[in-house]
Amino acid sequence: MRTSVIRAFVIKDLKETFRDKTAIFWMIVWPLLWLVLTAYIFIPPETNAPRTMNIGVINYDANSEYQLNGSLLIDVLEKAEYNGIKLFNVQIYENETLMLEEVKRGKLDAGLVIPKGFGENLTFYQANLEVYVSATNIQAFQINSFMLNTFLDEFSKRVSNEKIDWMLKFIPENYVNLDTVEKFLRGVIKPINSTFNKISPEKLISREAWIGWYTVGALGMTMLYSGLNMGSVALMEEKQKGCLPKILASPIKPSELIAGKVLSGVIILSLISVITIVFGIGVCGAKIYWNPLRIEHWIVPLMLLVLALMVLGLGSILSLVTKSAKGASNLSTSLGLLLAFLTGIWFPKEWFPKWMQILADYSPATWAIEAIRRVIVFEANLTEIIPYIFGALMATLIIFIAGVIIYRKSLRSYLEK
Amino acid sequence: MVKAVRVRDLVKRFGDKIAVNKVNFDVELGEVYGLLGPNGAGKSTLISMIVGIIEPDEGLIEIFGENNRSVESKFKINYCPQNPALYEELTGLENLIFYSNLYGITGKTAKEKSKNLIRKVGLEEYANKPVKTYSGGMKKRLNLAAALINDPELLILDEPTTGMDPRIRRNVWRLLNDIRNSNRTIIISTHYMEEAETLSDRVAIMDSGRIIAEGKPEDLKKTYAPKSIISVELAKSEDYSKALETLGNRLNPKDIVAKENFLRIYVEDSDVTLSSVAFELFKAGIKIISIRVTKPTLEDVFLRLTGRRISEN
Repeated sequence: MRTSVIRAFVIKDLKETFRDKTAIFWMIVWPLLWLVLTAYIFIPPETNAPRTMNIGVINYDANSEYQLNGSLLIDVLEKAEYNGIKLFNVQIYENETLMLEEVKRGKLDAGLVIPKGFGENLTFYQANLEVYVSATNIQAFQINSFMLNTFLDEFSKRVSNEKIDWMLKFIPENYVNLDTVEKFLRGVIKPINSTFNKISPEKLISREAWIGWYTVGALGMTMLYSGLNMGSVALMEEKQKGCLPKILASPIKPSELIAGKVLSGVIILSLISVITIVFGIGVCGAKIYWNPLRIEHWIVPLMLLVLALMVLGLGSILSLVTKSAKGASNLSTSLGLLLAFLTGIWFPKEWFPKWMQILADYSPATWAIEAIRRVIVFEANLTEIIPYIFGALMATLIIFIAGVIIYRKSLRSYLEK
Repeated sequence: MVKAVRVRDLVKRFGDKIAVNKVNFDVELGEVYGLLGPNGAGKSTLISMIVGIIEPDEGLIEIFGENNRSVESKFKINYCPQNPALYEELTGLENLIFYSNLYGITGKTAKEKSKNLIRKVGLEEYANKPVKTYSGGMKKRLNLAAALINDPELLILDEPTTGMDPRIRRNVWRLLNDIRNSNRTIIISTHYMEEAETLSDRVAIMDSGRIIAEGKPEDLKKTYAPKSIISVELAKSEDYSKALETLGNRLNPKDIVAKENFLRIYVEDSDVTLSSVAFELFKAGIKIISIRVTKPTLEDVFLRLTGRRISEN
């Protein structure tokens, strides 16, 4: 094989591709647009901050003479914080109808009505509180209810503890079972004292890591549809441009033509990958781990190469069912996008019903993307990704060989037609 | 002696259709060999087999004594397809450099050669512009330049001037004459009579996949066409059948070809026949605009052999 011939095809294809505005849009601009949309709309910068609820309050017990009263509740509501962020924006209302109207319109997340005698009941008996939660959508209703419930539970617990402290003052200090009584009473407040701990997948805890996840997704999506497209039209386009007969009349071997086409495809796909990753990190703020001193990190370029060869081979197989370069391009782009969306490359496969997740489990392209993702997003070690690497390599070997055989056969049949 | 091209019993079928049927011919070294015939005669299929793009079903093709499909023989030839084989996004210069690379010409040599050829075909001003901005004629010229990139010993041109305006066509002929003078062998397929006659040392006339006549243009005309042709332009096209009837009594009707108000009469002795044709038509009251004696062309040869005009196909 002559390298000058292979190089000629690579240079020619690169110039043709990067001078074609439509190709640039689909191969570079389109995936980067998706990435930007994801980074700033689906995972907005405030994603990591706790939610702040807008709450309206009507206090019919404002003049209560008791220490535990509605004003105390409002005061605690206003001061409640999580990681330095206020949990509730409290707005005092005079008119109950107006407040409920605003809850209904979604302007307020919830409304509290503190009835007259709330302080007295809170101090001596059991106080009632009317809570109205906005249900503009089910998720918001669940989150708002949960937040208010948690807050009111905590507030009730503190009030109960105050009441127990006050009660204990009436029991003589020398009473032998004082300690047991106190424990019993505090147990009555909350029989089960459960502690909730937040555990997220270690490397996906931050917004930046999520964007890293989607950056690999964008890379996979582009590789899929661009690679399928390039693979399917590689020879058809040469024929459609009228150049294939002249190329075949020249002293090149079919293997040189195929090698040139494959190599140009691999280089173009690699460039797209680098652009996507750099854009993901530089513009969208993706967090990606890459340490050239760690051997498993070199799996990433290997998997990119494997993925490129796989999609080019698949593209060649696709060309069997199409009659023109335009048809092949349309089919491969649609199929590539569909696979990217349905096989866990762009969206997490867990979002899909169980039966659909099988697509992702048996998609060789997903194995390669999963190996890349696990290394550069989850910092996995080599042993964790070996099944993915092995699967992707085996599938690529079969697909690529089939693709090359189809290319060789197509060369003849295109011209005979 | 080694022939530039040797073709024996060549057959190519596409399904039930025989595109090339038992074709035999030789092309001598340094010769310009024309393949003349109407569209669909099998010229392009024959050329595609010679350059090794299509495999023949039967027969043999040798180029300079070697199998035409060997890489060695392909280094010695180049092919100019009928439709420009160019990449629209690339510049003219880049296209030529690409094709030169396929022939192992690289680096500065490729660039220099490409620039020279671009100059030769008169495209130096457009060398660095994308081909998509070229006119059809410019693309044809660049296509021809691409076929000269390896200084081929055998240049195969498939309808190289189709679609060119007459002025550019003559420029291309001049260029092809220069190539011919540098002792290269050329095979040119065309359906332009004038092109075949002007450029070719020998011509093969093809029809329905066969070579129906072969030889030097002059010899073909001598063998298959009459000595002279009397061309008559009638004043009224309605007189056409009356003229045919009148002349048919005196001459062999097969020697009269009529189209609208034009008559072509094949004659051996134009001096005698001219006056009698003019007299007979005058006597029949048929008005004549012009009458003149012309020399036969290869079109007349084709007409004589097939009963059809090349341009009618």
